[in-house]
Amino acid sequence: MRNFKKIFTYTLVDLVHHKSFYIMLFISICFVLLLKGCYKGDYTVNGQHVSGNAVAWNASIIAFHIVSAGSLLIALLLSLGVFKRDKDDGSAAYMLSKPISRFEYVCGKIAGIWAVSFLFMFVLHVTIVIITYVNTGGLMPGYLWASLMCSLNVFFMVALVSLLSLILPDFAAAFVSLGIVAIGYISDIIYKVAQSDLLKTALGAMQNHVSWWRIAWPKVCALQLSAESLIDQSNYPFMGAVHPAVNVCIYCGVVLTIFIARFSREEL
Amino acid sequence: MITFNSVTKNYGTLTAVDAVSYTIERGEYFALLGPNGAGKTTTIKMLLDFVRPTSGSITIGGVPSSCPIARKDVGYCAENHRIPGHLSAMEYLRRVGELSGLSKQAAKLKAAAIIERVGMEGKEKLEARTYSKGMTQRIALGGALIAGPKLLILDEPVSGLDPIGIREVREILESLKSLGTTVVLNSHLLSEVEKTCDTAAIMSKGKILVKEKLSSIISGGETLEDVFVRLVKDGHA
Repeated sequence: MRNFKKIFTYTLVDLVHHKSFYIMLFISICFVLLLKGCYKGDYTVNGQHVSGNAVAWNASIIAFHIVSAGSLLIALLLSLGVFKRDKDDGSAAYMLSKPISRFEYVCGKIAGIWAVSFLFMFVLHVTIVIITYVNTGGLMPGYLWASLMCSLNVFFMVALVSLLSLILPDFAAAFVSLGIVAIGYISDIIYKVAQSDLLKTALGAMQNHVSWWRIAWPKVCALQLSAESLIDQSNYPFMGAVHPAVNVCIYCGVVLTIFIARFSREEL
Repeated sequence: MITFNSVTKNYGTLTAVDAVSYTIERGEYFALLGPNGAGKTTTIKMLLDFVRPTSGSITIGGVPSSCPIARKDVGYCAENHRIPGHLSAMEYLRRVGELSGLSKQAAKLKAAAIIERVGMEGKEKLEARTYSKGMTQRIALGGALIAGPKLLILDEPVSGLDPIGIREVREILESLKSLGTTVVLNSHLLSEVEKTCDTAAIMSKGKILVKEKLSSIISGGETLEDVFVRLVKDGHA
């Protein structure tokens, strides 16, 4: 555990050491601050008056999804080729020539990358909560819990990209990881749309059938949508019998196990 | 202290290390010699569990080398050692010290002492990316020494060093003799091996051709270089 903590700390320090991390964070905060414009004044939609608070609420939820999905890209960038790089720059050799198991090394490294990616996402979510509070005076208590829930997605992305970039060239690893997540997003968004009352009535029994692979696919998007239900206190109708959080946890465990098994055989 | 028991490493059809068996005793200064591609670096990597043998076993102090605890008292200096570019010598040495089991405070103190010992005073706060090869090699050696290892594994430790640096490394290694440190040295510099080591093994094509005390290997007015060339040529014949 002590070695895990040390490697976790070194990874964290090494990642936040880069200027590019702060530049990326600064640019992202600037984009989030653009939201302020949505909170000013009242709106009329289809001839009906919509209050500024309602718009602010919806804008905050849309921003929640954009930040959560964008953080997956940050996780991808931070974890892409990190183990190969460690091998090349001698970091892996100097750490593993000490009484440190590869298990501790891998777990410490992945936890460090996850922590930085999550920190990035959390800072942006906190910024949105503050903007909403300042402009509308309304607190969104579920927002930060939802962010915490989405950290599971970030962990999945870090583990997946780390595994794939160990066995594939970096561009292929990025492409496959994004593909897996994108398929999940498309499938889950289609499912969510199909659950609307209008489509339910129109499609009848047809839309009840969901392919097994869609139920078993990594539920990154579904987890994000169910996190949203923490914000608006709604019920998210997830696909199949397993909650998306459990689905993503299982995938995290499987990917991490394969990664550790693969890295244990890796020659330094 | 170190036992290689019929260790073989195959890469597809290529046998890099072929059924190697030998023992290195505690306090021994042991040199692993051989031409390029003889299997020396693979042997050292297997000793550190960087590479897994295809068959056979290696133990350090009776503990299989695949167990992390076997590396508890091991210092390692790699050939062409690389230090993460953004770390300074001080930061690198502190990290190595902490990873070796020293407390933060002890690692800080030891790092400062090691900086002086390897002649890097005044440059310890510069980023490693600004170091020359010789400076990197000194820091790498410092990293290997920081926790007072009982076993020191040095893969071409004087590579990139000037004659003064080479002499300083030799002096450091000699000072460790009184502490009972075991040294495994992989080097092409046969003159240095002659000055530093007690025993040597000569490898060729993955096999150990000879493993003896240096005084037994060198006899009849021959130098270590003469013996090395003769054995390797005979081995290739």
